[in-house]
Amino acid sequence: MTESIKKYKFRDGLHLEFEIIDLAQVLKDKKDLMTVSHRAQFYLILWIEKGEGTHYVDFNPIKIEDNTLIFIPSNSVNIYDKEGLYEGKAIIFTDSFFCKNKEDVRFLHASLLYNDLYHIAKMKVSPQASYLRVFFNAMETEFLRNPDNSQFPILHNMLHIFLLQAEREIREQGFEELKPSVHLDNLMLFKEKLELNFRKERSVNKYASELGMSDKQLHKACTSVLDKTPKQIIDERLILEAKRLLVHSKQAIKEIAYELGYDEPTNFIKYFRKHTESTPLEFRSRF
Amino acid sequence: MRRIFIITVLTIVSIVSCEADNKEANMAISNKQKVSELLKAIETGAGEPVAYINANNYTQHNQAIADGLAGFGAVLGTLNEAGGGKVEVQRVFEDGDFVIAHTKYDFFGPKAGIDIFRFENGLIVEHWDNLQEIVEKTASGRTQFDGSTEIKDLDKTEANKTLVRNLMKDIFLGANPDKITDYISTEQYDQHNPGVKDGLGGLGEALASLAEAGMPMVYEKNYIVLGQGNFVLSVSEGIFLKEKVAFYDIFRIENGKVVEHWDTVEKIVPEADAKNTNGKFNF
Repeated sequence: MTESIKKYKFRDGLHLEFEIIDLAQVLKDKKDLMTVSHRAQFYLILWIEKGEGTHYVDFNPIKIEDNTLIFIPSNSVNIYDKEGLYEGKAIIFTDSFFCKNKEDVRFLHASLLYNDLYHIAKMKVSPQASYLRVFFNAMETEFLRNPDNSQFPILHNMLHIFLLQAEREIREQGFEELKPSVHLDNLMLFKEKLELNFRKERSVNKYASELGMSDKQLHKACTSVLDKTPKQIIDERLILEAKRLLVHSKQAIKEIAYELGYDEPTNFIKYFRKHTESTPLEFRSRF
Repeated sequence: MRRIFIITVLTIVSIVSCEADNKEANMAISNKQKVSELLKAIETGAGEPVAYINANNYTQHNQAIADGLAGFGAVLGTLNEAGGGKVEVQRVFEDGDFVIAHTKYDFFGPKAGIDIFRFENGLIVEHWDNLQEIVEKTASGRTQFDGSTEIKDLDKTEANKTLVRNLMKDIFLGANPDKITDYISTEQYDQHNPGVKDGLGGLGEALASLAEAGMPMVYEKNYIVLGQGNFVLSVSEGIFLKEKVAFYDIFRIENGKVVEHWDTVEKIVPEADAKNTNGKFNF
């Protein structure tokens, strides 16, 4: 694992890996910290009441607007807009807060709010009273209580309901969801495996056999759902990691190449250039 | 020799009588009066009432003020630079060593304040307070200050304090919410909280609308109940409008039921940002 990107871990000393923060306040107090690109080791829900500017998650721009909810997965790279306006609240929580059993894991990782098969989930919320607002208020109130044995399960369940309701509303707002199928299930298994192994393993055949599928099955899963080949998906993941390391660490190209499983930096440079049409150094200098 | 003896005796006598005079003078000023004078001195700048504070031992629980007499002095200094303040004490009552004052301040802006002072040997050794901005237009039409000021029913102090303790437990901490009419009069409940209408109905309406918005008013802990006759103060901790707060509630009781209520609600400062380490409560 790389330690070279600035990783913001959860604050020590909190009894729960859950927090509700005032965005404007945090950005004011920790402007230097927040506007340096960093990789957050927690899930984020941004409730923007008033906002302007462009937020970047894994190099993809997201427009910041009034009355929106934005769901940002754990481990993605965030760049806050230095000139932007973020007014509202944020909920931050970790896997260890939410995932107390297998159902929780499945829900969170498959949720269209946090699933990386989709673009970052962003939805409109009513500025008036709404079900989501009531639950957000209730979580804020519960979070302030003096800790007791009920606090964790109550917060956990309220967050679960909040996410379920947000899923429902984002669907109603026209979010296009992938239809459940064997192919989607197989693709999800592949992505899970890839996430753990992409630094050292890039052979489609190896992944297929590890998952007990034929090359053809894996190919079909990827192309029918995403219209991409397994090889393309592997390449995209590796390139994303390369970009993250280039921009968010001070490591030499040689070290990054090595970390991503290249013994020869020139091979890494060629590979990067082929997929991004720029050299690693050029890419780095743009940020 | 004889003469020297006489002089000595006289001196001793006069010293003794002097001490007696001082003691009498101290006795003559009640703790309540000392508090009133001290609070008024914030406005007038009079120096003498500051002597009612024990200069060597003064524990400050206002989280925006540093500990000790020096902390109090520093605030007065800043206040003078800001053009001075205004202080109108509305009602004062006492319970043992404690004196409670309900005051209209213009103290870095208009505020309603409830202060508690603790005395030891005639001097103030500890102070708590709870401040809230003054609201011009209130739901009941009453101000945060007007209403009854007359202290009576001194023989009912304990009974009335017990009533408020149980009111806190059963209603505000929620042990027996249906008992509310055992505590609050159905005929008269004069409300001075700026956001709530008169009567039991007004209270119910306000609590319901907060709960529906997902922000129920939460009382978590009652720290102390202090009272004299028909006036009782309760100090609690809880959550209001998504902030951790201290609730100071003053109730007036008539014939065994609460008939009038004043309060102040103030946000609790996180310990790391407080100017002293004494805590907002710690009675």
